[in-house]
Amino acid sequence: MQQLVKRTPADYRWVRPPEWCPGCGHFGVLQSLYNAFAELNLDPSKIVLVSGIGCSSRLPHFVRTTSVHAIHGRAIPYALGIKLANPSLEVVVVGGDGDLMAIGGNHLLHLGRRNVDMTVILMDNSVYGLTRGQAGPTLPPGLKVKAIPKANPQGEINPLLLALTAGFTFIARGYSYDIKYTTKLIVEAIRHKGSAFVQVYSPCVTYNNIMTREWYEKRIYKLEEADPSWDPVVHDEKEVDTKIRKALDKIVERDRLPLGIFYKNELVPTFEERYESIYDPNYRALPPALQPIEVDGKPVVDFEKLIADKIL
Amino acid sequence: MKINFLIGGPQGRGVETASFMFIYGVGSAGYYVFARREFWSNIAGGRHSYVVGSISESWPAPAPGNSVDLALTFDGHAVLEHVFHLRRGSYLVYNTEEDSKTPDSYTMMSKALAERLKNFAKEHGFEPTVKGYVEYLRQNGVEIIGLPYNKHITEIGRKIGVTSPVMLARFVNTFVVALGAALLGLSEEHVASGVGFALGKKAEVIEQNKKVASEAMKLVEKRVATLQQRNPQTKRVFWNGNEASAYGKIVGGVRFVTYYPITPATDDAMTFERLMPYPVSKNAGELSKFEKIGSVAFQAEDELAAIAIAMGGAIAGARSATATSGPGFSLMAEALSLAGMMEVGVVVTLWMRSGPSTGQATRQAQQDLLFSLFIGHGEYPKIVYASGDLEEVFFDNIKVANWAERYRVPVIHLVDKNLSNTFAVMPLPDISKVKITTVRPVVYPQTQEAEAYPLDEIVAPKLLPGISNAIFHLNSLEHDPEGDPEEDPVVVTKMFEKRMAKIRLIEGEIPPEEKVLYFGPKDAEKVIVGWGSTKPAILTALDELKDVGFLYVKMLYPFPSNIVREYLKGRKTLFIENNYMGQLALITRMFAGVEPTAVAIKFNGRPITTDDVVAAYRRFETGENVIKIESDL
Ligand SMILES: Cc1ncc(C[n+]2csc(CCOP(=O)(O)OP(=O)(O)O)c2C)c(N)n1
Ligand code: SF4
Ligand SMILES: [Mg+2]
Repeated sequence: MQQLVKRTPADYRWVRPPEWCPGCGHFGVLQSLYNAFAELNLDPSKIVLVSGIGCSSRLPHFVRTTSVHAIHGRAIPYALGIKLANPSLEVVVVGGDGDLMAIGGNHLLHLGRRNVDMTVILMDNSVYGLTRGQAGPTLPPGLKVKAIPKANPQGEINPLLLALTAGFTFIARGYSYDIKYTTKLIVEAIRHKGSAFVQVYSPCVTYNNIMTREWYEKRIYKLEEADPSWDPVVHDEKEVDTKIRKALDKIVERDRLPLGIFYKNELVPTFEERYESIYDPNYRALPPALQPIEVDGKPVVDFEKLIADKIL
Repeated sequence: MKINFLIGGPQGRGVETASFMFIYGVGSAGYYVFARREFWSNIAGGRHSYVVGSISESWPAPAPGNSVDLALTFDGHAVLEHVFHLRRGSYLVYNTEEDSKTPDSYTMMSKALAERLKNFAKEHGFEPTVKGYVEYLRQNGVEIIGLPYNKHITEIGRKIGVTSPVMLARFVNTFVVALGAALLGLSEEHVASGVGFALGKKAEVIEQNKKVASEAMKLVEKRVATLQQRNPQTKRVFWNGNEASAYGKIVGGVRFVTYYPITPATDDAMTFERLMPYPVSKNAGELSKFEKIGSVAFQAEDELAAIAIAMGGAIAGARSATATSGPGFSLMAEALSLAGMMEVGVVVTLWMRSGPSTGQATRQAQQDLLFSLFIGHGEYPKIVYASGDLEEVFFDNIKVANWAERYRVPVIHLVDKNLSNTFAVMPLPDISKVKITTVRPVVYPQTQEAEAYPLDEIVAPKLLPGISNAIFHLNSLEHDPEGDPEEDPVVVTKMFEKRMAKIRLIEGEIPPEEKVLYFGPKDAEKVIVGWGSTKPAILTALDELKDVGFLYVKMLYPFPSNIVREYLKGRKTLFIENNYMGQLALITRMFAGVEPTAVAIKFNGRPITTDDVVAAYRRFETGENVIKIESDL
């Protein structure tokens, strides 16, 4: 019965309203997620939204899906554990630039190389909103946002550049005030087979007084509008290098900031596929979370057979 | 009958292979073996490493002491390392071709030991050469079997048609083991089964080594003992502590193990990984249609991830564990506090080693008891449980997995380097004793919201994503029953009490005999108190120490205060621990309000031996109350 239901964005709205500053970019990401889930008509009990800590990481509390609001920086490994134990779940990570790129940066790198079939949405405002405006790891050097005493002496990370080198097989960038477009990117990211990374510029209206709506809107443009022939998809193994180079070219642009899908390659096997072929042919049919482990309290594994080669 | 042995030589050049060959050979003759490996935190490099153990007709085999009956050495360095581990009546097998070497010849010997040895030779008026030390030992009643190893091996090689120096060098293992086997009166057939076990699959190599063994055995006529073939009447297993742990996990239904490589924990997770896929038993219900089943064994990018991924696995519904040691455990603190808050049942198998910091990565310690009890910020329920021997390691893995699922708290299972590197030929655990108590998840007929933290239950009904048809929120922030952030003082109080009520629940449900065991005379006036892997040594010492009891504590948190207080009431206590602070003594005072009479501590990276226990007890009897143990075998 449940499959026949056609859900609307409102079906994913939790009873309690978001607690963000009015105008915060994060609202746009939230609405885009509602829209994307509705468009994909996902059963909210089969989605697991996972986050760390930050204003952005509060997002799961405003969504009517199962969620895990974990600790700062660790959303990805929590999500990974859930996905690996039960690969049939739709697992989506959301988090801020502090959470995913600073304290949790290492996990992002390693998710990329694994290519587990899940989605990471970076809500990037280049500041630490929740701790009141310190510099985020994506804040360019020399900028002095409101709450920091002097201009930023540290350089910035380009999240997409990192994601590309880490091995993410889907890489996109959106802008939170363009909900329609961000929705589209998130839908594509969730549909993608493999690790997907979506950076969404999501201005902090309270602490980032430089990278504001106006600042972004002067710079952003859409890849496919600027170049109608833009095709980020790897259709054939032989195209990988050229597609990566093309993506790189766009990712490193600084003065103007392209939005859209930069790279998409479904020819790379997912971790789940590799695990199944190397370790356990029944992995996806019978993953850890779905295995019975006892019958009347007795183990289901044949101990003597398991240990046969150690018996004297 | 009890024989203590030692096999020592330069690390990375076959000492391990030789030890497995020897142990398996003895085992194949029907004996039990209880041995332990000591090695440096290097892969090769020629530092001295050894295996020390005991052979016995019954199990448990007595734990070794500070000297051995039979020392099989690969080189002169090994002789020098063990000069003080031989006594009147011991046998030493050594290579006379090393006679002229001195402590300074061995560049991989610790400078400190070389100095101690040279001073000793000076004090006793002999030349600090291998020959000098050997003669000193001979004069003190040690039986010396000195042979020119390479000369003999070359001759044997010629007989069997092997002349390449590389090949000949590889025969040393078998040669040394065969000498030892001959001294123990083992038959050629048993040595051959050891050779077959240790040298793997290459038929030609095995045949050559069997011939080497056969020739070498003819070189010694003396006998330390005569180990007749015997029938132990029971299935026996040859394994180590890491392996016992992995088998316990698999049998106990753990299907999700994460790790970031660290000594001495990795082999636990990697055995779990290596054994996959696992054979399904005939009585496995719906699973019986599968011949084999799998699990997830996952190497994480660090321990921050290892614990988080394991917790993710548990959230999704798999029995999950991670194996680590001190440095990795330090990185898990924040996540364990989250497991308490978010109510996730996960097992950390903590293979303690000697710290602080990187410390001695391959050496023994029980230094992480206090850390395990208090790890993680804030206050939250947890279980800390220790195993003391390989049988316990196996069964406790099943128990802790049951508890993690039942109480949905982090469970820290304390084991250590000593257990990880214990190699035993012992009875196969009887798994008819195993009971897996799993909790069935809620399954709603249709998708609906559900409370992850209902106030009316201490442990909430089990909700699993994708299985329960439930929409629920898990949260690291203080929360209301629905899992939404909440800081209302009344709700906070209720939530706090609900979480902490698990401690009472755990205390009440787990039976006393799983928390504490008492050995020895009931009314003993004096009681030794210990925990973890000191158990075999203390139990062995108890045979010698009459009229003393042994209170063995397995449940370290929630601490069984009443039981411990009851046992210790009005008695004099000696706490024996492999750490500096006497950590069990501290928590006994803290939780049970019992003032320890004395502590015996050993913190030099070596385990506490049977002789250590006896000596510590004697000093305790003379009124010493802080007894530092410094023995080094
Ligand atoms: C281990 C740890 N260190 C520090 C903090 C404090 N902290 C909370 S949120 C945050 C930064 C959040 O920034 P970001 O992820 O960019 O999210 P935003 O609020 O900007 O959306 C920090 C440092 C914490 N919760 N945990
Ligand atoms: S502080 Fe910034 S990021 Fe946080 S809610 Fe306010 S506007 Fe949004
Ligand atoms: Mg931010």
